Amino acid sequence: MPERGFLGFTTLSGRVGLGLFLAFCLIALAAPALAPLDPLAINYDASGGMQRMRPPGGDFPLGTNYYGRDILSQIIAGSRVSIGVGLLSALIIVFIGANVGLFAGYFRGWVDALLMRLTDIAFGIPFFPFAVLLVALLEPSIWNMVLTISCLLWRSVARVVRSQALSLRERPYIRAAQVAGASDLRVMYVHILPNLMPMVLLYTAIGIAYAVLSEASLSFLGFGDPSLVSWGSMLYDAYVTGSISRAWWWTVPPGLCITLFVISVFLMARDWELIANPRLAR
Amino acid sequence: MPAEPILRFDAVEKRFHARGKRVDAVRGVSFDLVPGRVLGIVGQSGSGKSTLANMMVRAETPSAGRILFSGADLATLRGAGLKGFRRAVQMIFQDPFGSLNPRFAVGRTVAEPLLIHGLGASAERRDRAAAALEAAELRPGAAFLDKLPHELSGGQRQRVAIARALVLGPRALVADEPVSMLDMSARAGVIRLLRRLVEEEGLALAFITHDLSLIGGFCDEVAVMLEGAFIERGTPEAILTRPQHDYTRRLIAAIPVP
Repeated sequence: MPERGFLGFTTLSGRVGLGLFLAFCLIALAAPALAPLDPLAINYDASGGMQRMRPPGGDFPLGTNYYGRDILSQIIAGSRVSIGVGLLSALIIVFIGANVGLFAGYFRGWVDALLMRLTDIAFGIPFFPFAVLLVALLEPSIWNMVLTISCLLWRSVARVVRSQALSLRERPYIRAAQVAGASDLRVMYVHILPNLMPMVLLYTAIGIAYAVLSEASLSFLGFGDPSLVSWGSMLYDAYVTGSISRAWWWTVPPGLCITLFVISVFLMARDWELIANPRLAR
Repeated sequence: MPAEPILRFDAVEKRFHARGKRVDAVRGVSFDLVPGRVLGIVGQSGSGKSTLANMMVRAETPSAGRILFSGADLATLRGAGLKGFRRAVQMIFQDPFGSLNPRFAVGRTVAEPLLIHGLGASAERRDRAAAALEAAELRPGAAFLDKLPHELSGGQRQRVAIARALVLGPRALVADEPVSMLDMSARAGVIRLLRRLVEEEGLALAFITHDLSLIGGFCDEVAVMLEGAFIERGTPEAILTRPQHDYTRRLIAAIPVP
């Protein structure tokens, strides 16, 4: 039995990941108080000129963008949308995926066939064309973004949980519970699911990373909510104003934040993977 | 006059179909499980004895023939009748390592059947779990309630499994190879415990094993199973001293001489 450590974080990299992740979450939670300026306000100088494309320094630690908005404030405000969409989507992904996998693996037979064909369909749908279609039918908003992401990305969770449930359902203690008269739901949620939790947690972490990346990609393509700032939409604005090659201070901060956040989650997931699959530990 | 049987198998058959091939796992088996008596069922792996055990606890239903529980057809039991059956007939499994949920403390494992059947408040369930552990000769029972399975020896785990089977106050136990994964000293203890439960509590016991050496002083009746059918039945003495069937003779010859 490996040492559990703090929340399962036994390695240095896992703890660094956790630290980064918590820091990002704190910034996202306290965003309105932390942002020095209104992220959507257009800043003017004393003579009434728009302060556009200012390099970092002075009143604007990270400079301003083409519209005269403060980049630092946008980064801080954008963390809310990016991380919020990521966390919420990951929760929905894991909720759907774990339940689909659990039912398929436990009941087998036609339930399994039906749910797994559904999963195959989810695997068959290409992500971005589907997202474009959904946003065109609905409207750009963060809720539709969460819907799009969680509509498709539960598929890998479902497959993994199913294969685990298929193996766990044959354990003698499952039969012991059935012989004692336990209902199917009781066996699934009391005996099988808790033994899958390390795996589910691991997929939650991976789901957060994928959801954040998907949010950034969709926003970069212009499918984000135009009234909200996110890291992805900052890159989109830089792109459509042709500033990507002219203002590094506009593109590097959101790119770096996306990268660091995804890395922090993967570092945590690596440690959880040691718990889910102890044979990896040496 | 023998007591009323708890479970009566009447010409029971079980067939499986796998890839178009028919497998007759159990063929025309009849017997009674009677309170206060031990029926030993001996056979090699693949002889159908585990399928038979599964039918005794209604994990499988027969393809033909009938299983009667207190006179009612087991296959048609539903609702309250089925719950009554689940309380009356319990099973002990071969693998004492796999048959306990590794995340559950002993007290939770043993009390779970009570929870499933909605019996007693939390504190009462704990008391009854402790009492069941004592009945399975884990003393003091209360000291084991908070232990996790990996803290226990194989013999202790099997006693926890027996306590879980006893906690509902069953009338019959089905033990499928309950000692084959235990070491020699633990085996004798578990067998003595099962015999005591049969004699003192009047339980009916079906004891399924591949090892003819275990049945000697323990079973009241022995059935030898081969390819899904009972080929020979009798008292242990008769089976061991005057085997009628070639297969039985080979099983006896396979008993290691101590």
